[in-house]
Amino acid sequence: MEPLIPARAQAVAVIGCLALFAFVVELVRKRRLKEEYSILWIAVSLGTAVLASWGGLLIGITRMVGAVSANSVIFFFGLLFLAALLLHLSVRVSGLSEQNKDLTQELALLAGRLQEVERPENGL
Amino acid sequence: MRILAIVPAFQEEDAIGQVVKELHDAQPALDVLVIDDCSRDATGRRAREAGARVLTLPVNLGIGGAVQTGFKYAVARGYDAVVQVDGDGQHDPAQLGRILQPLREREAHVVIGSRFLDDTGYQASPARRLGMRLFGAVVRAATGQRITDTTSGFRALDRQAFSFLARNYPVDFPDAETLVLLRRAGFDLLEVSVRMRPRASGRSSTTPLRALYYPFKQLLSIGVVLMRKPPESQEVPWNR
Repeated sequence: MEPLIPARAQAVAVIGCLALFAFVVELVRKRRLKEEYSILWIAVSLGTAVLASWGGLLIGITRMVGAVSANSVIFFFGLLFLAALLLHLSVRVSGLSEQNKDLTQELALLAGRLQEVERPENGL
Repeated sequence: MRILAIVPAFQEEDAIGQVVKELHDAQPALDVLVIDDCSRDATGRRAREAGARVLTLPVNLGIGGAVQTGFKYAVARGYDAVVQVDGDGQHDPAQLGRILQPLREREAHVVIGSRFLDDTGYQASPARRLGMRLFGAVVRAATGQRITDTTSGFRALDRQAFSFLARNYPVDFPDAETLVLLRRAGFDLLEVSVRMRPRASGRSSTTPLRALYYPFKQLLSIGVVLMRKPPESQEVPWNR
């Protein structure tokens, strides 16, 4: 039987995934990415590497979910992952903007207080 | 009764001085706090020169974030009541007495100055009227109370109400949503008729895009408020 993925494409895919993995680890090492977020990316890069190097696994998953083409399985789970990631980031941004608002207000209140202490004759 | 006037202002250097002066003239006992929402003009300086206390936000938060800063200030300084007055001169300080009177007599926790309760000569565009009617219907359905002017920013709140809003307040378009929020938390709302003026100068923060976005955001927010558990006002409402 014809292999599902040509050997050369397989090699490129595995190398790409490992490069992503190395890049994520490097980001964490330089403290530019929090460990908390790196777990997801490490899982994806390693998971994709496994899928790329082990064609039978993808076929098995395709049969299991009842899909016709292995390609659509890859795209489906890929999109699902991206959508989940974006939603997660939106949640984080909402939290951050709330914190940002509270900090801004607190800063204005403290600056007012400070001015009052330094120059009581002027009021605020 | 110690009362604080909270005046949110963004780029209102031409109007703010007059607003502060009129507030002092109308109610000499009133403390005036201007929240300068990161204006790039002389809004803060003009307000200070006119005798107001000024808090300057280091980044622009929008009207809701600015007003909430005032609520937090009022909580920290132990005020008994606050009035919200727009920084553009639309709200006539001569009408303050009408808004504060029911609060003094403890008829309600929140008093809203309405342009529509009586015919006060206020003219709005048809689109705006439609929107206001829609919000009126939604707020009525959500609270069981008829509020004629749900978008009015001319409001007075007692300590319980503003302490509550110091903790929970919508940031971007706080008008109608706040009414539903307050009502759900068990606060009594009351409308009084006030006359409003056309804005003295400056520009409204409304842009065409925002005018389209505004009603959707409001309806969504009200829907979300209704889906949440009623917030706790934490303090026991006073007895009457």
